[in-house]
Amino acid sequence: MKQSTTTCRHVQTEDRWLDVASREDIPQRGARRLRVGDQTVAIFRTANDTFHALVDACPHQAGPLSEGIVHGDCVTCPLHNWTISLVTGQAQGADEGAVQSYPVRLFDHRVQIDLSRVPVPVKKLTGGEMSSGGENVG
Amino acid sequence: MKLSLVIIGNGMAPGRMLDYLLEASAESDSSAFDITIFNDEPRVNYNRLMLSPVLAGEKSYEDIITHDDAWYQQHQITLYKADRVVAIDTDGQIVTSRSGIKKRYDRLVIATGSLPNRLPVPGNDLDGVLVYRDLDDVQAMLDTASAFRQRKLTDAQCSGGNVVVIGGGLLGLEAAAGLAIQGMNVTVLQYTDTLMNQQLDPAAGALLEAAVIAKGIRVITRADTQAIITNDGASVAGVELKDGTVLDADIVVMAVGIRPSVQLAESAGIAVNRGIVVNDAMETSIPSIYALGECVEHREICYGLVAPLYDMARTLAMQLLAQPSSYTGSVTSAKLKVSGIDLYSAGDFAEGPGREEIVLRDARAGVYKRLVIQNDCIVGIVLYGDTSDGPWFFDFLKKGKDISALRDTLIFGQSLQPTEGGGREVDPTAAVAALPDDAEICGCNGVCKSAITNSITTLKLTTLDEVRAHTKASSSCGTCSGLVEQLMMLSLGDQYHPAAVTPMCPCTTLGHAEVRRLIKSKKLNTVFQVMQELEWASSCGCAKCRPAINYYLVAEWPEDYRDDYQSRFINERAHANIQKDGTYSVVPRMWGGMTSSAELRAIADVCDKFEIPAVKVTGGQRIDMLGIKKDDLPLVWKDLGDAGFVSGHAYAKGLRTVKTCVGKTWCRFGTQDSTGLGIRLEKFLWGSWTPAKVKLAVSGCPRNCAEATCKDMGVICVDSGYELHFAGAAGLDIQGTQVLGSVTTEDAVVEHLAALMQMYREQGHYLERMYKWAKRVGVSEIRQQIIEDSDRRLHYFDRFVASQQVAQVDPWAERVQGKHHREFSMVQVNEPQRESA
Repeated sequence: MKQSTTTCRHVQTEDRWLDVASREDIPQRGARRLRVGDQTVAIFRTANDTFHALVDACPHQAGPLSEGIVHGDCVTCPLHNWTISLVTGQAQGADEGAVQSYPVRLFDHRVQIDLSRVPVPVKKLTGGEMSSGGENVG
Repeated sequence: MKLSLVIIGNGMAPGRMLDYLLEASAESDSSAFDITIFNDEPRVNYNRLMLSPVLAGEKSYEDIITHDDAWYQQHQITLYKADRVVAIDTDGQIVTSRSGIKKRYDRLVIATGSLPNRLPVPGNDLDGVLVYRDLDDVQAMLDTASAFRQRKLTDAQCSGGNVVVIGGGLLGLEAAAGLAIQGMNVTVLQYTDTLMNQQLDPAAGALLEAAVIAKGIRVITRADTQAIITNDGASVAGVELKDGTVLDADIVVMAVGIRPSVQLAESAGIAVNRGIVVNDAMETSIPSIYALGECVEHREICYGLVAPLYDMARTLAMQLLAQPSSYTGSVTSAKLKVSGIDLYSAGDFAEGPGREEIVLRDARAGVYKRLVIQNDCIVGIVLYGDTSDGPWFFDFLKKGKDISALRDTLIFGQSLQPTEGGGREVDPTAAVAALPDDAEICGCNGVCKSAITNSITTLKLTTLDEVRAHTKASSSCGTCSGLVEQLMMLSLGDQYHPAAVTPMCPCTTLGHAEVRRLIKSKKLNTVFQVMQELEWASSCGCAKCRPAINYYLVAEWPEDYRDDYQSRFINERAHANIQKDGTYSVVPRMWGGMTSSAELRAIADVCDKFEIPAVKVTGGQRIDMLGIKKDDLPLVWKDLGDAGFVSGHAYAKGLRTVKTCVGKTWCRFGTQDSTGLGIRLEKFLWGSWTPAKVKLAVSGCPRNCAEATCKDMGVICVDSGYELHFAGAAGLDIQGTQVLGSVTTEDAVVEHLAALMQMYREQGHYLERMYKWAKRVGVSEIRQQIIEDSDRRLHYFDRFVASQQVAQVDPWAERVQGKHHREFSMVQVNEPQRESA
């Protein structure tokens, strides 16, 4: 099977990849936020240097996943400790729900994201208690 | 008539390609080609992989030659040394060399290899700034080292001999190790958090760092090089980092990666992306021109390790002989060639959908093994300390062999595969078994491991109570009970069955108390070291154990430990309280609940300026500003800081508020200056992290308007002095305080409460409020240690003061100055395609 050389070049210059940050801009086991229109996308970097992007809203109560603790290939939401897969956007364990994920790639030490997919609407907020990680206290 | 085959470059890839080619020709008994090689280096072909042993003095240049002059003669190959091709005429099929030689080709092979990257910083071309690529580089390093040794012979005290290696990858570490063996003082700078981050996961990277340091090499991670500096304008004198650190250097070795050498191919009009683009037949975009080695890009991948180059070499040789063959890409494995450090990595060890990991840690042997499994196949391997099974695992990986039948025992390696059934059990006493005899087990009573094990054997003790009675171990706060029980198991074997310990999280079998004690006994000082030495079952921990370990390390090593921010909950990372809509609330300190018109005006101005939607008076006698966007936090803090405010730590596992009443200054019932004492306590106690939040109150009389008897610590002023209270709660649980004791002076109040806070810091489990800790440890034990035992109280007090020396820094002011600035800013992409903020 021969591979056309022009295909190689084509993929890497395709417009759908948006260059968003240098690899070192995102801390390992951390995230940075990207504003896309009126929505925020969280770009994660795991301990093993893989990069992932999710809409920055937990499927539970739209908590900012970018602010959670990143462990393995999951992030734990800072509001109520739901654990979400960075790869699939699916809630883990007994919880059910999913959040939109976007393809991310690392190209020449640059983090690039493909936003060409249409994001799903984010669930509206409802009430709920805060996690042990950070209740409100004066 | 023979075809003319011209090869540009004489590295390992074309060398191996020629081997295959000649071997095949020998079989068919006809040499199909008239071969010409142009080599930029002034020598024959040598094994570049062996440069590190040459630098380390283990091998000489002669030892690493793969093809000598005689070989080229024997095979009638024309080799032009120190002559490079400068142009390719693809229409006329002619190459031209620097010295003017023109050679026609029927088949052309480009094997120009790669070029070492140089950091784009000032001074990167000074004399003494080297790369680590070929024998000339190695020779330059050896010459410098030899000159320094000579100088040292005449002047043993002479300074110098400093090397800075920029880049903590494979090549950088091999260069560093070799130079250290040559007697140089070596510092390795690594831009990321861990060494060899391309090949290792952070857990293995942390182990590697410790081993490199043990070789006398200094390692600085997160080192961002600003400039190479010079004193005379010509040669290198040192390296300056962005944080202002300056390191002396006689030579600087840049090992910051390689890039394919494509300029020649590009100027000839051959398709080039990152590398020279080739298809599966190793053909470039122009007929009759092939390429292989580090200069090529195949299926969007550029390789820098030797195994893929050999695979390419085989395919290309077959292609040249017109035999169908294709190269479909390689799975690579990497091994560090530094004696005494065994590590191996292969494949893709990142997480992914449907992937799981098997982790084995053996703290005593310094072993870490991690396999990444997907669809019952190994897809990634990281081995540290014991790499003997690397090839065995790699074989599974390459062939995609199903491991489901071996799953339970796979990680133990080939030799430990059970013949039938069986396998290795996890030994719960492994961690205590690995402790040295003099490791302290019981901190309260100063009892070491051997004192306990000796008593168990000589006195034939069989129950925990007996051990407590005879050794005093775990007889005070009880924190070390689990460890004492493990020592009993170790000494008594199956005869002893300890009480079940509740593990911290699914990553470990150890409980909080065991982890804390072992951090101290084994002197563990990073999160990754804790996970390795205590044989964690995951590579990166989880959201439960990481914040806990981070706190235990902060509390144990206040001066040396570098806080792991990625292991903190968001509130403590952002130094504000996250709200349900993702905005934050900000609460500045109002010492003892006192404020002024100027402060209130400043808060009002901030609220107007940043359009803060809600302002609330809290139950802790201060003001909460709610609904602030994360990006605005540093700006809000700037304005608050200018008005004299500091962080109120309303988000912290640490001192929150000290609530007071107005005391005898105003109140007709007041007995003491409760407001002043509250302010004094708040100013003394804020800063250090605690297991969970700590709230105080000081009431000026027993009417208790400040509600001091439901706080973590409370003071009730009376005519004769001060009643000290602790372990109250008014949250999930409602609980009145316990009486700690009575003192007569403000100084004594501060001393006792600071000592109590330190005792809680040292013994509380992460997220365990003070009342729960007191219930676990026993109120009378705490009273005994804080009130009756004045020596112990003073020791707690001193340790608290030591922690405060480094902890009392206003985090808001630091962030206004720019610390962790990326935490607070969005990545911006509205501008065309560029950069983060």
